[in-house]
Amino acid sequence: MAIRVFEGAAEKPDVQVEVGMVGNYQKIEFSGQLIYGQTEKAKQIILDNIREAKGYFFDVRNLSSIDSTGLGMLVTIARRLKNTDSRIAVIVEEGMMKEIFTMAKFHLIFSMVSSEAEGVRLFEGGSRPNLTLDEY
Amino acid sequence: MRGVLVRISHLMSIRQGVRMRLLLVDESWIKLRSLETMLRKAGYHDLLFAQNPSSVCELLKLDEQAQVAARIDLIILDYTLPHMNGIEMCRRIRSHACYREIPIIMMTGMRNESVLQEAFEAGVTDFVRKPVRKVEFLARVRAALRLQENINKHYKAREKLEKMVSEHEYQLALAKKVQMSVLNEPIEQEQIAIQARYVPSEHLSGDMYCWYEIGNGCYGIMLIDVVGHGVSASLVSMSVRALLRGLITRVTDPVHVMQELNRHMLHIFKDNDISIYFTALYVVIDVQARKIEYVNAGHPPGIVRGSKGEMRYLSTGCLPIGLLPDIQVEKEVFSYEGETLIAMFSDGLANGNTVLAPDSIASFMIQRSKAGQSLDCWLNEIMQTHATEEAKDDICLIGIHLR
Repeated sequence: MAIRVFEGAAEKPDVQVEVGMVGNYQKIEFSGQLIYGQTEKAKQIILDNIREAKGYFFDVRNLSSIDSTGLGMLVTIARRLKNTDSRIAVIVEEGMMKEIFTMAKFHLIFSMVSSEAEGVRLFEGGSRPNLTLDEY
Repeated sequence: MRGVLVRISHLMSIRQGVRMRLLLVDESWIKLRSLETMLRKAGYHDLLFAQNPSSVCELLKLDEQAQVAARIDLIILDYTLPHMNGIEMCRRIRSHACYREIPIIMMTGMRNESVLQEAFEAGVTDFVRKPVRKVEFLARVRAALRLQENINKHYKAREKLEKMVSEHEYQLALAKKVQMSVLNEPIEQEQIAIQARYVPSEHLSGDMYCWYEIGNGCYGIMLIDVVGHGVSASLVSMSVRALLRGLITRVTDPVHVMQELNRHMLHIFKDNDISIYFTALYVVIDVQARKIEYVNAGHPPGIVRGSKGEMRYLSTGCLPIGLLPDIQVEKEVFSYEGETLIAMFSDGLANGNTVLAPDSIASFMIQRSKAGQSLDCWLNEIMQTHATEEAKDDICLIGIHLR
């Protein structure tokens, strides 16, 4: 069952984060806007709720926008997981959000998949992203 | 002596720590002495006395043009005064901007509700019934002074805050001047012209640009955009800026420039708990060989419009700078012919629509750029069409005209 862990202040465009499990993998699902002013508290609560898992999904399909601060937060979380020998994939659909990740060249450090099932296949199939977590 | 300040005591009570100054107004000298005795026994020693409205006006400087307040913390006013009653006196006091908040206690023997209502409407804070009874009188004085003490604290805190804000604004304005002072002057040469537009979303910007003539007709042009906004982002951008002149003029290959910057960022911010990085677009133009090479580090693509209207997006490169060690950096090299325009911009343009901005600017460059149009006009038009007045992010736009 997913746990809602954070809702931003009502007066700001808010981000919401839900943490849940997909088999042996933990999924962190974002919605709203992951932008400057919204990331710090979200990051802390995510780190507090991270469990040991074989891999992690950052699901950004419901994000309406993300900026460089939001992208940086994903890397910060990834760095915290670097010693766990786990894998990380970003679940993102074709469209603007994927273009932002690609423009920022984050596809070089995160595997990009379009669904949980594709992510699980990727993790269990043994293929690796361009850089592993150990390289963060 | 009637109507004159007769006594001011600056003695402070240690017993109650009382430093409050009270003004007692009553036409009867005997009653004033009676109140004085009660107050002094209760520890209130800083007392002023007045026996008529003109003395009150004189003491409180009500007739002076300058808005200077006498230091008074509480006014105790009898309803019955010569020439005007206590309510009119109260209105007169409240009409002065400096005394809108000061507590005023009115002493009256009247029981008429409409008079009390009129007094409250005139600005009286509280009443003491006559004949004055010591316990009630002192309780009301204490309550009024507590109120005034809180008001004083509030004003002092506000004054302190305003001073801090003012100092902060001054420092930010100074810092902005420093940041603006390092921006390059435009270049206007026979074969190349370079100009920029720079609009911080706050006082300080995380965007930064620079350009240098490297030598032999080569120019290096760098645009960086540090993650975040404001002071922290500007500190990072200024620390990077300090390196750029040496780096760009000494290391000509854009690949090595980016790798060196990456090492620098990771070295400086290695122990940081947050991701501090920047995106960048670095372009090297050789106007003799008519060759352009560049690296894009996670930045919105630069756009090139060739002499025949052909468009090229400058996207090849590497991860943003400062994220990971030993990044793989790829550069692209190409030639140009005839009049060529290049736009480099940060993602604050088009109101931060990172994805749409490049296409929108490319489309603008195809449709609106006219032969012979000055670089200045061209940049102004892009800013007019793509930069909103209330930008949420820093905006930086560089225009390069190759001839």
